[in-house]
Amino acid sequence: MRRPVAAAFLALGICLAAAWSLLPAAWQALTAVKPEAQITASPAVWVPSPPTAEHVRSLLERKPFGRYLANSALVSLAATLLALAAAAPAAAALCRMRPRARSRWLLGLLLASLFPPILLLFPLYEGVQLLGLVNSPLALVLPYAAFGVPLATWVLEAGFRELPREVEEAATLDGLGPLGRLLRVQLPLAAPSVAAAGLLTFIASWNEFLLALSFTTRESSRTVTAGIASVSGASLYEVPWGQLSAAIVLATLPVVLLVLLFERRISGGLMGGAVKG
Amino acid sequence: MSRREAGASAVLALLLAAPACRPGGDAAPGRPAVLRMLVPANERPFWLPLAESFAKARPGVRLELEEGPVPTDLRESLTTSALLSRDGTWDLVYLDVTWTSKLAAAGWLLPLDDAFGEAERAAFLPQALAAGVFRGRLYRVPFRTDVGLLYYRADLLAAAGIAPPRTFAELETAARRLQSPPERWGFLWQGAQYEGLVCFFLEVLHGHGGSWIDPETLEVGLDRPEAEAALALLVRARGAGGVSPPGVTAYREEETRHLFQSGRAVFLRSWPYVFRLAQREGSAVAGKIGVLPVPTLSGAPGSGTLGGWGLAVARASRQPEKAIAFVRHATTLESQRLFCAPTGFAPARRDGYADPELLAANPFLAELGKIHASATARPVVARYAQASDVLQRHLTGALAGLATPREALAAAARETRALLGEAP
Amino acid sequence: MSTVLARRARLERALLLSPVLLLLALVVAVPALRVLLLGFTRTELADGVVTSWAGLATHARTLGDGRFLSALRNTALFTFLSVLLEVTLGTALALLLDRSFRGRGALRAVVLVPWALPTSVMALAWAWIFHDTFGMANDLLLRLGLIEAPVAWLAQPGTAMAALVVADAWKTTPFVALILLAGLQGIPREVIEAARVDGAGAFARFRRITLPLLVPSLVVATLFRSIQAWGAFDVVWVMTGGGPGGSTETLALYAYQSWFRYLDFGYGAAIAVQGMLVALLLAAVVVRLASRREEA
Repeated sequence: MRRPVAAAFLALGICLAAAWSLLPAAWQALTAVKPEAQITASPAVWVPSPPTAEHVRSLLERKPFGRYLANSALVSLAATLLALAAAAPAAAALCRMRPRARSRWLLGLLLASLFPPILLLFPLYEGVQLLGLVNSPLALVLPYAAFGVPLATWVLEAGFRELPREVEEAATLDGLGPLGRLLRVQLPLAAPSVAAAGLLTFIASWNEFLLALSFTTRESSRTVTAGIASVSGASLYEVPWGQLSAAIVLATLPVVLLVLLFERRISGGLMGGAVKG
Repeated sequence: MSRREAGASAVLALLLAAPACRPGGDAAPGRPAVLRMLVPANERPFWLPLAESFAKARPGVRLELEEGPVPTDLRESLTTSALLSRDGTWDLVYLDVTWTSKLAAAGWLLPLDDAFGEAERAAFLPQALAAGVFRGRLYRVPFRTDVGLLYYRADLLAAAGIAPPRTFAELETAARRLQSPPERWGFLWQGAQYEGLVCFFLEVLHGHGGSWIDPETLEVGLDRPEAEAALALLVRARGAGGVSPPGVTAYREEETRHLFQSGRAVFLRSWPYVFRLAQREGSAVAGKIGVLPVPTLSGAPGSGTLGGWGLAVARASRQPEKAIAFVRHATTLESQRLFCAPTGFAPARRDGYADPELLAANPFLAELGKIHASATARPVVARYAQASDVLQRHLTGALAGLATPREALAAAARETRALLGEAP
Repeated sequence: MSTVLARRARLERALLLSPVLLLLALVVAVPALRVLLLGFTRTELADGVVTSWAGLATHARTLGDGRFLSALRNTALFTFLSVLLEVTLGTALALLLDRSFRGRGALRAVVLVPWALPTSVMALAWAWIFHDTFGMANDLLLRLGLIEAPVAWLAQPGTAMAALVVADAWKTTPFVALILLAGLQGIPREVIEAARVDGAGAFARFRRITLPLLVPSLVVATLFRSIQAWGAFDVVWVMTGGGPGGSTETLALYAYQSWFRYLDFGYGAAIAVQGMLVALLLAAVVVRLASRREEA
């Protein structure tokens, strides 16, 4: 008697959770391939018939969208590598500390990561201007790496600490210094944590908008989040929802793929941080 | 990392790298000098012919038009961050009439007094030109202009035997007689909290003989009886039994145009661009509309708020002479034809209003020229954006019934004085 | 001998930590100090941007500024509502994901998708969803009979805030759910089993056992999210721009406007700093709670 009811509730819950998570994105994807007349039909037409590639095509014609995507990929990748390069030695140092000192450091990092970027926007802008980095990818890479480095350190440190202590001791006996231990032993053995930290930083960098909007004034250096803000049609007075949806789909596809492929790593990274916090 | 994941990452990396491999972009060899300017994405197609004709007139210099966001606010921030960086990203600035003062005061624009002498200046509508002058120096040359107008349904008024209204009272009476809400409203205007509301309110304020900020003395007139009467008129129009829909407080230009164009209003306060669209085939009111200057208390022709866009040269530009050459090129009659004929925007040059070619494209220009002659510019003060936001917020408060017109305007006057006193 | 070793270890540690510290100093600490200083200056526009020391005068301007108070109120309301919704939905999601069923891995991946999408880009999508005539929200609600006429979501103060809260909750619920899931997985199964044997119903088990044991995770998730929501910019900027009528303008937006529209750099900094003080207060609570947990 109770079993079928519970099962039905579970099924309902699963459906609701999936619908809540996917519907908004699905609606966008549908709009992106809907013929213009069906976009502005009332009541709404859900399934486009026939689907059209018109919006994607005119978007790519009007906008250097490939350039935006490439800029985003470049900036995010560079920020990720930089964040990992900084976080790995720090994590190695932290996991050898006494628990009290370690937790103090980790909390300090947490505090730094909690600064809302908007507070830092103007001074960062001044810095970027002072260093002549406006429109340079570095103007975004450095802040993104810094924003990502606390969480990356947390995740890597958790990964390193799970390694058997004997491995590290054996490496020390083999005469490896701290860097050697890091490169030859800790990073390879904790590869899943490295992947998690990298993915988290990459996704956060890909998604950043505020700095991207302010530090890139030239079309050719815009990342996808900033570039999408200037999508518009050929008409003076209408918002081109079809093209906009196409742009949204193109901008989000890479991260959707990342999540679907690497969900376990990402969740593990986020949850690992949470368990210890 | 498992083998599956490694494979997946490789695929992903390829996907990400693919667009980067596409040829093109703006990596063209930079032999001709390049001037850069940001324009709203939806206007870019109309700028291209100007860029082409400039390239012909001035070989060796190329104008590169970058697409910016369409919402004016977004472009305002983007323009600011580009100018703030002083790295010469953009040589030219395409700017709204209200941006001149702050950008000039910040020292980011090049004075153009020497480049544009008396004779050249005389070619422009005087109000439009004056709006580009800050503390006695010319920073912005007008490119296209706008002025607030009153549209009316000539067919409805004629059928009822009502003369086109000249005073606020006549407007209200006519609107009330001809409306049948909610199918048809009497009077539409821009009531959302944004710059458009200020433009409309200023017309009503000036029509009552009031004033907002005197740009010379920085005197604030918002807490005088004229201002209170002006705001009370708007509150009454939107209130119960009024001539405007309650939703008017959410309307910007386009919402009001759509309603008017589908035949759902008798009067509309808006800008010149509406005329062309409302007369177009497919519009429910094509051939049925007329245009008037905004009304006043006395019945004398009112003065519409001056809007419009102009061109300035960034002080950080490394090629100011070439940039000035483009400003000059863009404001010739020839260029005004290229831009204004297809868009329906009003030219900034006086001869544009008598030009056969432009008149053929847009017959309405003849009438517009007369209305333009009495347009009023918004005060040219460095803290304009803040002052406007203060006014918008308090106007909205009164329209929403959160404060009486007197209270709202007293607060607005106090905050505006504090603001202007803060920054001399 | 041992002191030499200890010194070497300390030096080694400092070297290993230095890249992180350098990055954070450059991007977080120095700018934070700079914005703090800037809040004590006055910006004037007179033949250039002129900055002068103003002491507390710039900070004092917020006192008489109705717009600052309204932005503060909006920020608090947005933070409260969106965190409330996220924690409620996140708890439900975590409980669901804690069950074992076929396809759980797939569902976890699907549920995580919103968290990974760019906020600014999805805010555009949400503006389209909440479009008054062509949007999905109105269409669904009309079909379900929950509303009788289309709602102009983003054109009215109350509904605009509601739309922002929904968009923000959609994006961040997965994060909350994951933190809570980690908490749930830390609860020993035997405790719940024992309650089941004692005859406690599902709801009673949740209220008496799961929820109390989940409190630490709930606290962490709530505070983490509160601080982030407090500084939210992207979703508001793209969806409503602070409108209609300033009813959704947050402190982050007001500071941004002061910097990039008004060129009032000192006042923008003062707004940011005063907002930051509240955020720091929240952060201090996180740290306290977290360190108490660590010691326990």
